Amino acid sequence: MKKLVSSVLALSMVLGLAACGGSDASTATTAASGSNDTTAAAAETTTEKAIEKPSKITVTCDGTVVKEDDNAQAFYDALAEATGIEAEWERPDHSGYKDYIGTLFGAGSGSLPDVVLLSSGNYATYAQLGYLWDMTDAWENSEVKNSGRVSDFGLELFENSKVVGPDGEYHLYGWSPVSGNGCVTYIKQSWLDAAGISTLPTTWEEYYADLLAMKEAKGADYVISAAGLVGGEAPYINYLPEFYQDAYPEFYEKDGVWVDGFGEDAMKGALERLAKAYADGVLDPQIIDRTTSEARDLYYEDKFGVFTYWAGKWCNTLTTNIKKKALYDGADKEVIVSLPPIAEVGQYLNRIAPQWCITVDAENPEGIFEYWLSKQLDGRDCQLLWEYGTHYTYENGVFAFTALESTGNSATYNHIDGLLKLGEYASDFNDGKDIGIDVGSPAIAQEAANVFKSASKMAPSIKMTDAMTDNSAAIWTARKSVIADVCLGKISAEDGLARYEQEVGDLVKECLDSLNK
Amino acid sequence: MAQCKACNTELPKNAKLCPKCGTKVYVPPKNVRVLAIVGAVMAFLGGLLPFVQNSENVADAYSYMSYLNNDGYQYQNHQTLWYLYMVALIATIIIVVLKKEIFSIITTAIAAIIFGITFSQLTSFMNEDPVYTVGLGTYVVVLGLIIAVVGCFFDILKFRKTVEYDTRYMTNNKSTWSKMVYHKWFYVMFIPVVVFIAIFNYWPMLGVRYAFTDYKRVPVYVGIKHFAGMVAKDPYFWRAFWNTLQLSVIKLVLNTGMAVIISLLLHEITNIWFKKTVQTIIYLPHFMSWVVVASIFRMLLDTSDAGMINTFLMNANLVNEPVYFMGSVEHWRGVYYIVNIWRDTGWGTILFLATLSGISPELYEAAEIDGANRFNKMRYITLPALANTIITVFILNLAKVMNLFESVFVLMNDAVISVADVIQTYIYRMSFSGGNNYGYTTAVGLFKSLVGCVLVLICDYASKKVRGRGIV
Repeated sequence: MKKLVSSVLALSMVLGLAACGGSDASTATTAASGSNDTTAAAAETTTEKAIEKPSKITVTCDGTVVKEDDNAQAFYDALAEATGIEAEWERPDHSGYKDYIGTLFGAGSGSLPDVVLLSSGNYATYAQLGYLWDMTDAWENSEVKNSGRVSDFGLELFENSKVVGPDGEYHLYGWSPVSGNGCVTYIKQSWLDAAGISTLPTTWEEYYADLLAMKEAKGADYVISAAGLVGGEAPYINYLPEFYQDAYPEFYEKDGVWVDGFGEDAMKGALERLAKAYADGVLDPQIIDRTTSEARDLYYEDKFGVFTYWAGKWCNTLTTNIKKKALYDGADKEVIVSLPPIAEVGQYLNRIAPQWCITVDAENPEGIFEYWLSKQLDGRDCQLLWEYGTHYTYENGVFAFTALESTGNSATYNHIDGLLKLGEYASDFNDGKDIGIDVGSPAIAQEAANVFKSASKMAPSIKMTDAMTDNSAAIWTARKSVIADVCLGKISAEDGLARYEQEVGDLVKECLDSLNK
Repeated sequence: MAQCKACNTELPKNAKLCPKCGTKVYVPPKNVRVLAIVGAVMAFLGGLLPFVQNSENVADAYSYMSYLNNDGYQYQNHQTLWYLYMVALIATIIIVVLKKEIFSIITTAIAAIIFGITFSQLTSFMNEDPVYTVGLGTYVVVLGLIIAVVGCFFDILKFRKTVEYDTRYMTNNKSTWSKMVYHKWFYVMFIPVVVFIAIFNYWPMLGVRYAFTDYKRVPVYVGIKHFAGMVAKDPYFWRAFWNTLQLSVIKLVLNTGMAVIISLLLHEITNIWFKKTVQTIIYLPHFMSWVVVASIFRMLLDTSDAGMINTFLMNANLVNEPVYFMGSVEHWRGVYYIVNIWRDTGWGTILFLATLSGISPELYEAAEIDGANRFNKMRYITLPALANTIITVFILNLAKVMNLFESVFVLMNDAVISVADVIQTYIYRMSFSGGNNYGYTTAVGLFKSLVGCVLVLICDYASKKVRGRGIV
């Protein structure tokens, strides 16, 4: 028996040795061949070799594309017919998408989908870690870029979407058919009326005075709420722009040099404004705990009157839901008013849009880019408006949307918002011309979008380095903790910033050194 | 269990004489062969891991030996030495299993010498090419060889004493193999379990290797960088560690204490219908998701008019303005413990009630005759009967103190992170926000597992002392 055990033990070790060696060798071979593929692919693009069309791809995206409950299959079928490529869609829960992506990439290369939709932060991170395919050449040589359909603004956005890759250089690893959009401050007309305010504020002083006046007039516990005091992803400050003003709590490039915005004097002012507003009862006492949906629901229920939220279509959604709650008593007036940025804010921030990325696991990235991804800019109706007959109809030159199962509201647009599109699109209707933004975009939404577009700028770009990967989470822990403690009045802004320096000063310096290298 | 050679009486643990016939008995020493085998296996596995690691590309290390030979390195027989080393270790294991310990020390020494030669060459190699650093395998091999050599010495010393030991009295004379053949179908039925555990429990453990890398598409070996960073660089690791211990242990004490009190009270209830109704009601919260529980308590503790607790406190003139319980470092932990007690106390009473129902009614009757009142009966009969169960529950749960996540995650926020952040929430934040630093969080996770492992061993030891058997 013992001889047998020892023999089995020895044999298993030898087999283990062989298995380990074999596995590693194959991994190394795969990695090597992967990089060769990428290099070869780039070479192919530049030499304009015929690009093979993939027959099937895998796609992972969040709920910004038509939801499964709203007959997404009809859209999938229409898109497959339009592109000639069958896509296998992975649709994680929208609220848990960030965690899902973390787990997906945590499993490493080899199990990634061909195409994945990433937020700006994840886009920069995974590009730097080498998981995303460099589509710079493909974009430069693509038919869509050279077609003239993309606006100058769109071309500029693509340029701004370049992030640092594993080689330390800026490349295009993601692709978006729309601009990122940003947030506009909405004020309820009823609250303005109650406080007797007829002119919208244009400076911080006027704005804050109006907030206090509305609080008093309505007898409200607070006037503003949001999903936390600072956002979880760039541009971080878009839910409370009037309070942050020129402060930006992240590393950003200033006159060619990367600096830590959280350590600047502007941040001290921002923290003091937040603390004062919290003490004065202007901010929701539980703003730290709020989720986005909670804040929205409280806004619908008229618990507060000033809400900074996404421009464009969301203005219409907010209005509709406020009306549904029957809290609106002025049928002939606007429900909410879009506030142009006050002088101290200057311009709202246009975020970097979530990016459609092709991963390094894709066998034919050029084909996916050419025949599937870049086609999102040709304005297929199924991408703009979902599926004909299922989600919308077009009769006698009039578009009509059907009600969605998930919300009961009428459908408006698919993942390409007409208000955010980057150029003119061909259409199967309207004599082949662009169907225009009127479709699916009520006047109120267009107005809010115009307020934003007329006074917005691109959010600071994101750059990841090894030091950023190592330290970013700890630094953000310190920042969020300081913001919360100062706002709740536990410490002064000055002490908060001193604590920040003391706790993570070394990590910040390490990051800055790497960013400015 | 050992038996007396003279009368076949089962001998107590560590007995020197048979309690029945008084014959001097010999109790064999503990089987320490496992020490030598573990050491040899470790040294063997260390031989598979990189002795020297390219600090820029972790993939380089796997083919290190062939790389040296192909690169025209001065010691062309390097790979041969490596094979000799591995064979020596396999021989050690076989010899130990065959109980020829006196020879095992020779093969182990051969392996150690070969390693020494190899390592001296590798050291000079590293000096020539600074991109290479000492690999994980080197540490494992050194540790393994030390354990193996010590184990072999122990074996030799042990078996010198067992010359007159007669195995016939220690077990039946059937070999293990014969027993296995006889019970073969049980082993066949056991195969799915082994496969399941191997795939879902042990295979994922291979991921711990990423604790030694910067986790990128091609992981980069960084040695113990993450462990050093965790201990010395990151300002929030130790805070999370101590928070974990404090929150877990206090929660454990409070939950167990409350469960005991509730059990004693329930035990005193004579109306069965009422008792069962109460039991059902207090069990229910345990089946609620932590997300739902957090939502309920957030509503109760809301600072607006909707918050029942604050409204009560204000109306009772106990506070002048609403208290933000969930955002206050002074109150958060208290709220956390109360929420945990509310949710889990009922469930925790099951074991205690089962124990209480097993206490003989005669004891209570006798006490009543002796004039004991209810309090005295509880003090002198119920509580002593319950003591063993209380300690058992406490010990079993102590092993799980590091596994604190969901309950904290749903209740914490940025304002209370200094008192609420625990190891698991720390890992979550480091993994999924900021830089997605998987290598670092794997290292933290490994550390947490090691601490958990130590706690389990301590609990196992304590359990053996208290209950006479381990926790499994």
